[in-house]
Amino acid sequence: MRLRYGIIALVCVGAVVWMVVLLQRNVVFFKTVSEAVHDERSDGTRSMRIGGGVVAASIQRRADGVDFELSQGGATVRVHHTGSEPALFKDCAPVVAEGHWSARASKTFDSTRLLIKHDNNYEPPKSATAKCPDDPLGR
Amino acid sequence: MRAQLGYGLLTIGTAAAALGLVTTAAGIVRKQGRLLELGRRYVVLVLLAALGAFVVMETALFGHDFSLQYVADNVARATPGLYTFTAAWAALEGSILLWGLLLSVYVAATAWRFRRRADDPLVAWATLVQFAVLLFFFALMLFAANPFKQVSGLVPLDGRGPNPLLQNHPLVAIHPPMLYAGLVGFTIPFSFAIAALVTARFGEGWLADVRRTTLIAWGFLTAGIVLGAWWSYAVLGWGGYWGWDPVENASFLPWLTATAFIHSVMVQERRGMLRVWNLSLVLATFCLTILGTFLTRSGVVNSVHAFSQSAIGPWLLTFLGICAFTAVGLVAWRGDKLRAPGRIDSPVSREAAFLLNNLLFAGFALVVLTGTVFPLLVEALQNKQISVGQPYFERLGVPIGIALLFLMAIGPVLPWRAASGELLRSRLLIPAWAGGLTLLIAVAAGARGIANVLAFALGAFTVASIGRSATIGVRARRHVHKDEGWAHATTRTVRGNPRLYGGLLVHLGVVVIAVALATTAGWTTRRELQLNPGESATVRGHQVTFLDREVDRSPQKTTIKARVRIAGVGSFAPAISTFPNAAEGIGTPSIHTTPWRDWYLTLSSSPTSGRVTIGVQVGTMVMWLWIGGLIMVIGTAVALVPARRRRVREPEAVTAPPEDEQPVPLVEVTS
Repeated sequence: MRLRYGIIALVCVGAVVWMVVLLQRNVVFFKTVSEAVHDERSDGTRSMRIGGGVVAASIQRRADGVDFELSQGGATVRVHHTGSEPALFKDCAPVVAEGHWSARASKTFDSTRLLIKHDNNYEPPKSATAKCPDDPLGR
Repeated sequence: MRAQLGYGLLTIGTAAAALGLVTTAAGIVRKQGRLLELGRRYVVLVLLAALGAFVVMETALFGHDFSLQYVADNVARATPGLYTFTAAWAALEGSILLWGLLLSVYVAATAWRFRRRADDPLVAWATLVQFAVLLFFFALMLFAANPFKQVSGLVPLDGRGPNPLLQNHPLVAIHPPMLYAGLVGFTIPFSFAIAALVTARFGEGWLADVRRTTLIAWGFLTAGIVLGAWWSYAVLGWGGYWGWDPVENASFLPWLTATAFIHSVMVQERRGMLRVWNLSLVLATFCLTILGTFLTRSGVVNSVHAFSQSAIGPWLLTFLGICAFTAVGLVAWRGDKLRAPGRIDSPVSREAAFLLNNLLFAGFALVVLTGTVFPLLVEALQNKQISVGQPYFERLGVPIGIALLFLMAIGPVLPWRAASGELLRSRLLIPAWAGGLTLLIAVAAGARGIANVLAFALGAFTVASIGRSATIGVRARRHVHKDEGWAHATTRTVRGNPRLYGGLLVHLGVVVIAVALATTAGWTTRRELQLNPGESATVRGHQVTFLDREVDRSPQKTTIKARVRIAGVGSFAPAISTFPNAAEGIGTPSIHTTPWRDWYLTLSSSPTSGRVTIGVQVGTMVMWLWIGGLIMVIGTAVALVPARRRRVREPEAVTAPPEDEQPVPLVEVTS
């Protein structure tokens, strides 16, 4: 009987440890483009999300994805995205890219998932301006 | 005018809940049945006030009474009737009002059911708790989230209209009410669990009292979750249906603990075991619904559901704290009295299977809870924004799901106490063959991934085992009633034990969903096409042609549609709509659904001329997810039908067992 409880306890502890390990492995930090550029060296190729605005006229579509530039707070990175793009992905759109820094070149981010950061405030559309707003994330 | 009327009704509701609370408390302290009876009547007043307030809200919405902030924010003159109606729960304040209304309905129905037992201390304490919860939600509306707040300054000529995502698909009319009817319903079992702890009546009586309400709430919650997945698939345009979004998790958490409870409660009814465990599950389920409300409604998480954010966070967090503290305190206080008689005799028995089932459900809940709350803790403590990636949920959730599927396959055929090898052999022979053959066929058909293959095999195993139980039941009945046809005998058999057959039907629904999850995961292709008008591309052997674009303008929205033809499938029109109240437009996927294949087209970018980007996704058996959900809900409804009492003249029991069967019923569920 005691042995059986011991085994059960061991299995439970093992399961919890496994859970914590998986949790740690799958934590994805969110950084704005300027924060991400600042931490580029220390972050290496760990996975994270970076947020910024799509630089006007920077979108170049490929067969398997899209290349574009993302900027925020005066910093700009080149994003190499593989996969589908969200509806309404366009110039100036506030975008969050999930992926990691590329091993090939600096300031290049390999993205596997793109999200549009929807704005919760219903602002009536402002007159179209040529320049993207300064703070694309509205923070 | 409406503002005062609505606010007045809410005040009446709050006052009635407070008076009911005080009167019931006085009745309990003085042990006066008259006071308890009086206290109970305040429920009617609360219900009428909530109903009145809801009606006032609807008339304000339909009457375009923009002097109310809520109406001005959530309805515009151009909003169609359906979405004007659903605007009542399109934002925070209104959804709390709907919550309050549903809660009063549940409490009133419970009061009606126990009208002859009002002076029973157990019922009195439960009523007290229900009044306390009602009071909290009414006070919340009165002080923190008033749906009848007036606009400051000039009354606008037109309102903003609902959030674009909430005026784009009719599912918005049923998904939230279903979900709320599920979440709110768990208040009743919670109140009885607290009452049982306070009065130290841990007999199995209180369980029988709340079994039905728990099942009703569970059925609604199941429907709400499946409809939510469907809404996500049909509206959000990402091609998926479940993203482990914090808010999806918030509805899934109480579902997990409630499902665990529905199973383990049978062990307590049958063997008197697992008392502390069952109480804890009921208490946890309610606390998780409050946590879910907190996550959804206070704006602490950023998600597609964060339609409205306000200052009710601290209120909900405090309430959650009080509930959890009370629950834990009471269980600790009564802990020594909760020792249950009986123990598990054999690891191969029904009760052992239920125990394992419960450990898995609880473990699943722990996994989801950790993944959901961890980012909030990190942000609160370290001020860093993180998220937990989907692989975390999938790598842990899939094995747990497969283990649960395995238990679902064998659990219902295991006997109570202990199983003999011979019994198992005879009961598991056919299902095991079905499972094994399916496994081979699935691998031959190209199924990849252990989880997917196992889902098919265990699904077939379960279906065969359910089919076997049902066939034997019907055959046994026909053995006695020789004149009955198959159809008639089947109906009678189900009526004779609706709880058993309802449960098996729910299991069948789960199998359908599990198989659909495996097929959608294993056989989905997605392509992005960039096409000029008139251009074609080939996807899965079908020619996809972009014909032209079409612009629809209405006061509600402006829609740009891409007309697409897929040879051999049909015409599609994925669209992007822009609403006057939002800067960003939203996409509307165009879906062609058949039982086998789903063609799912989205429009990714919408320049007014030239090349468009069209997402084409071909999914397999997606429709069966919703059908599985429907079967689960029907099964729940069947399980709720009262068992038909045997007429005295009918023969009492099966006199001769059918040829190949022991007289022991295969699956016994006490009702």
